[in-house]
Formats: sequence, structure tokens, C-alpha cells
Amino acid sequence: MKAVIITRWLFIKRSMLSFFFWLLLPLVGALLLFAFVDVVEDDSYVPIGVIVEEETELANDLYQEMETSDFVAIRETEHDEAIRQLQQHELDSVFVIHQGYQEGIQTQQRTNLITSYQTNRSYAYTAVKEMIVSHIQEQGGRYQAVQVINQLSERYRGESLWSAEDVIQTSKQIQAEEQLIHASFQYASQAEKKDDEGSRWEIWHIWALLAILSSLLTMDWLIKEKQSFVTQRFYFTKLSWHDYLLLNGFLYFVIWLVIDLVTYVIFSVGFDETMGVVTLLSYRCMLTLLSFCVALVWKRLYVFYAVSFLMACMCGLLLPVRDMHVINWLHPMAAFLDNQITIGWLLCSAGVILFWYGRRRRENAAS
Amino acid sequence: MIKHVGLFLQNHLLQIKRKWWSLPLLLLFPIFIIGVMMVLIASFFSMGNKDDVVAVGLVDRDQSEETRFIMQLLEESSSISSVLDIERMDETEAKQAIAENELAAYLLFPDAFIDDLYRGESVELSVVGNRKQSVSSQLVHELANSAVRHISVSQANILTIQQYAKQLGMSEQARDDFMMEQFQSYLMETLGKDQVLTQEDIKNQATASPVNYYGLSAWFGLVTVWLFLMYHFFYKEYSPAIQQRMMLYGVTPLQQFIARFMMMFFIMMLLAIGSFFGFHEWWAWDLAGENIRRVMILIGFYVILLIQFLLLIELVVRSTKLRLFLQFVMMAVLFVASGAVIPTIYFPSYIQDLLNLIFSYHVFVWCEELVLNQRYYADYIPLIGMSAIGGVVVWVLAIWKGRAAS
Repeated sequence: MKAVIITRWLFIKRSMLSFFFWLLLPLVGALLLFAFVDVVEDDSYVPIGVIVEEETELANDLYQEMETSDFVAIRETEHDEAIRQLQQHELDSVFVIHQGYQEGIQTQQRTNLITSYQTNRSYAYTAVKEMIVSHIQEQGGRYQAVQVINQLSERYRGESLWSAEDVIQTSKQIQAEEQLIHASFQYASQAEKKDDEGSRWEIWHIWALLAILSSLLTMDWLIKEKQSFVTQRFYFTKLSWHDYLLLNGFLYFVIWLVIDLVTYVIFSVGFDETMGVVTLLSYRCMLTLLSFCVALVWKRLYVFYAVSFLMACMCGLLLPVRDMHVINWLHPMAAFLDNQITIGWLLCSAGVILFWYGRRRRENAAS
Repeated sequence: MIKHVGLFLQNHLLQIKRKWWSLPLLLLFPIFIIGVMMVLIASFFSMGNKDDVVAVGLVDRDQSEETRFIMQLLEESSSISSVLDIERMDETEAKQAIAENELAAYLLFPDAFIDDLYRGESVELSVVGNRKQSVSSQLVHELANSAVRHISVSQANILTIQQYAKQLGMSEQARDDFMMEQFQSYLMETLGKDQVLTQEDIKNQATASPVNYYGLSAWFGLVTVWLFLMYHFFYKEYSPAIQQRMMLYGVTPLQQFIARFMMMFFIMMLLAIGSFFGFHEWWAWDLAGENIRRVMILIGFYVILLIQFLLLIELVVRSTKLRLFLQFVMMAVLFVASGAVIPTIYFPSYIQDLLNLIFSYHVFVWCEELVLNQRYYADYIPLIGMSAIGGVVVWVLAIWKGRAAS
């Protein structure tokens, strides 16, 4: 084993930079991509056109609310110009706040206060509409409360005791003070509850994908050494060729495990991720064995690289359709991403390697 | 010089002849991949279709008058039933149904839901999803979130009313009934919330539909992937010994590049134009002749610039692994930046400002204008400039590499 480590070190020493690049690619790549997507998602906005037909307090309030919303960017234009831009798909959708908006809200005549224009390419329309309607709903609900309270005090005291401003202020205060109702989400098969599932898992997704690519590409030593003339010398050493390759593969496995440990710590501290240690271990085991198998098959380096990219590419492309039954069964990343132990691919790869190892005598005899 | 270029061209033709069996595979594979992507996108779009409404269960642990009222409303509301198929059930039934994959999710109203709501205590509405229908589960979660937002606004108002009502000295019984009444009225208001706005569909050009947009994207993606594969088909790594011998014959990297460039350009144009007519038929784009010509010119520039880009990376990066990785990543970036995946109007503004520097964006934007918006104009000037610069850079680097090698 010591000899194997030393020879491997001689190889790695010559290309330290490349070695570490590929080793750290899943970790660094996942972090960078995740940060990038995070920033871009935050800064992305839906361009909408808003036309305000009346200059009243409530209409302005609504406009302000829309403006401070973090996912739309408002372009205030003329009606015709806005429609033209909508048709050219320079705007996602257009909203017109009509004359008589304030009066409608105050008198509870809340129909058709606003007109929305959309086309068949208004991808974000539903989300924007939902946001605007909820603001109107908020305003309207408060004035409804004012009206109800006025009626009550008229009935019991014969006069209205409180001004509209007072009531609205109280309502706003109550809403701000109390975390009143919220929806939680969990899967039926999941033990603990998570309020915000979703984007949280993505960093492991990215990592798992990059890990496939990097572990395949790092295995290229196997092909390089298969081609070299040194192969013949193994007949004169104590260590057989097959054992030598397996030991080297194991060495890489150990190196990867160290990096995975770092990754695990960073992801669980930095992103508060829960990923089973055994899940990660089995995934890494599978990756090592699988890339070992793939490297055994191919003879030419360039073809091997192409195959590696193709495999990683296919895994990535099939990820979104993972829900479909058959794919979920066949996808190498599926078990890992469901936080389960990878078994199928692990056993298959191990089987292939055992078969290859079992035939070593015959190969030796033949040559 | 020209003799050598001719020689390499012949060599590439030989390559095709020798590996002809792998060509159809190479060309069909991207079609398969893009087909999968299209199915995926189509399945997202059909989410809102009436023929596959999402089945949702409602579980009422509270069993109060109000929750029963909510359930009834939810079950009967027409605006909801177009998206969701809601059914009341008890918890064991719901769990069973999820296990049998009959429900996408169920909503759980906890014990004392209404009491807590009236007293202003924090209430939790649980959505329990089905992992086998995760997209639908998330949809239900989104809807529940939006409903909860509306309810919490209403709840603040109800609590406000309650607070003032207490000061008026209503009897407790009268107040309870009154609150129930208010609760219902707010709930009705929430369900009818969409009435505040009149929705109008603007008819844009008949050609400017998402279907055509994704058709165009698919074609654009196909050309991109084909070009990348073609590049690798023609790429050949020579051993140092052969490189040295070639040098002795006066062969320079530039000549090889020119030959490869010509070969790829020719084949790619055949493929791009052929496939465009396929898409044109299939999607019934029905473009005017001059616009088809404009699209051809645009895609010609795209092919030229992409080849230049790949050659540039090949010249600069020596490690094969790293080069492949960079080429792969850059192709993906160029494709996303073109706006073929997500329309560029949804990008952050600082990225939109940068897009003007990216050729794939120019090409795709003008293709969109021609095919989707029926414009009769395309601006080639930025593309001419970029391809000229690209050509010069590759040329100079290739010569410099030739010098450095000798």
C-alpha cells in the first residue's frame, strides 16, 4: 500500500493544480452556482406596465405597494404604448387602476376597479395578479372593518365613536404584531416538518451532479496507465496489475471521502442541510465504483472524456423528470437525492468489478 | 498553404467516410434530448389544463361550524374547482389515499383552529404532500400559502372589529354570533377577490405564441448541440511525434483550423437549414421567403461565431479535460444568455445590460423578431463586427501558436 501511495503521489505531484481543481469542483462549483442563482433569483423581476388613472391617496398607496414589491419592475407609460409593448413581449402584463378606485374601496363596491391585460406569453401574470389583488383585498378589508364598526357603534351608541384612521391603524397594528396564521408543508413519508421545503435541497442536487462529472474525470489515470508501457513490467512485481488498479482506486476513494467530509460540514453548517452520512457514503462508494467501471471499458482518453460528459449531461437532463417511475428507478442520483442509501447502482458496479477481477487469472494466462 | 488546407479537407471527408455509422447517432441523440425537454416543458404547461385537475383532500380535525363552512365553500367554489378537485375526508382516509397515489396532497385543519383564530393565536394550516406528485404538491402548497395570506389579512380585521365590539358592551353571545357572521363575510370576500379586476386577453400576433417560442428554442438548441458534437467529431489530437513531422512538411495550425472551420461550417449550414425547414413545416410558421433568408443569414453568423469561440478555447486551454469542461460550460452559458430558455425580459437589469455583448443573444432576438413578431428586418451589424473580431483573434493566436511550436 505504501508503494502505491508513493507512486500515486509521484503522478499527482506533476499536476497538482489540475488534481485539486477536479477534486474541489463539486464543492466549489456547487457553492458558486448556488450563490449565483440565489443572487440572480433575487434580482430578477417581472416587467409590468401600470397606468394610474386617478390621483388619490388609495390609488397611490396601491402603486407604492406594487413598487416596493421585490419581484416586479414597474414601467409607467401611456395606455397605448403599454399595450404595444405587451404585444411585443417587452412587458409581461399591464394593469390599469381605474378612475373611481378610491371611492370603490371606501364604499365596498369592489368590482372591476382594475383592468389587467395579458397575452398568451405572460408567464408571470398569475403571480403578479395575485400580488396586486391581495393588496387591494387588504385595503378593502380594512375599509370593510371601518364600515362594520361604524354600524355597530351607531346601533349601540347612536353615533360613530371612532374615525376611519383609528380603525385602520389598529388593524395594521394587529396584523404587524401577530404572526397569525401560516401554512406548513411536509411530505407524507417525511418524519419532521419543514416550513420551507424546496430550494433548500438544490445545493445537494448541484453537488451530486458535479460529483458524477468530477469523479469520472478524475478516474482518467486508469486509462492513461492502461496505455503506458509500464503495464508489462507488472509481471515482475509482487503486486498484480489488477491489485494495483484496485488499490489506487481505493486511494482515490479515501481522498474523496476527506473532501466529502469537508463538503458535508460546510453544507450542514452554512446551509443547515440535513443529509444522512450513510447516504453520502454510499453515494460516494457508488461513484467510485461506477467511474472505475467506465474507465475500465474505454481505451481512448478522448472518448472516455466525451462519455463522462455525456453521462453527467444525461443525469442532469433527466433530473427534472425524476418523478416518472421508471426514471426514478434508473437514475443514479435518485436514491441520494431522496436521502436514501444508493444500492442498485452500487451493486451493479461492484458486480462488474468483481467479474473483471475474477477474470484476472485468465487474462494473465492468455498474455 | 492552400494545398495543405485542401489536404486537411480531404482528410476530414475521409473521417466522415470512416465514421459514417456514428454520424446518425450523433445527430439523433440531440433530437432525443431536446424531445425529452419539450415533453417536460409541455407537461408544465398542461398543469393548468382542465383535464388533469389536482386531487386534494380536506381533513377537518376542528369540526367547528366555521371550518365546515370553509370546507363547503372550498368544495363548491367554481374558481377553485377548475384547478383542484377537493374532497372532504378524515385523516386515515387521506393517508390511505396518498399511499395509493390517489391524492396530490391534503390540507389539515388542526384542533381548535377557529378558536385560536378568533383569539389571535398563531394557527398552522398543514399541507401534506405526496412525494410521487411533487410538482402538484408544491402547487397546492403555493395555493394554500396565498389563501393563508388572504385569511391573515381578514383575521386582523376581524380581531379589530372584535376589539371595538368589546368596548361597546355587546353581550358575549351576541358578539360570538356577530363574529361568525363577519368571518363568513370576509371569507366570501376572499373567495371573490378576483372580482376587483377585469381580465382582458390581448391578442398578439398569432405567431407569437409560447408554442412557437419553444419551437424556435428547440431548433436553436438543436443547432447548438449539433455544432458542439460536430466539433468533437472532427477534433483530432495528434501525438507530439506526428505534430513534429507535420511541421517539417510546413503544416501550420492555422491551415488545420481553416480546414476544420470550412468543413464544420458547410456541414452545420446543411443541418441548420434542413432542420429549419423541418420545424417550419411542423410548426406551420409560414414565413415569407425573404424572412427565411434572414433567418439563414442569422444562423450562419451563429455557426461562424460558435466555431470561432470553440477554436479560441482550444487555442488557449491546453489541458484536454479542462478545455472540454470550459467549452461545455460556455456553450451552456451562451445558450441560456440567448434567451432561448427563459425570455430575457425576466433577467436582472445588470445582466440585460451585458447581453448586448453576447452574440447568441443578438442572433436569437432577431430570429424571434422574424419568426414570432413577423418583422421584416434584421440587424447584422453587431454580428458582422463580432465575427470579424473573432476571426482576427483566432487567426492571430493560431499563427502565434504555430510560431511558438516551431
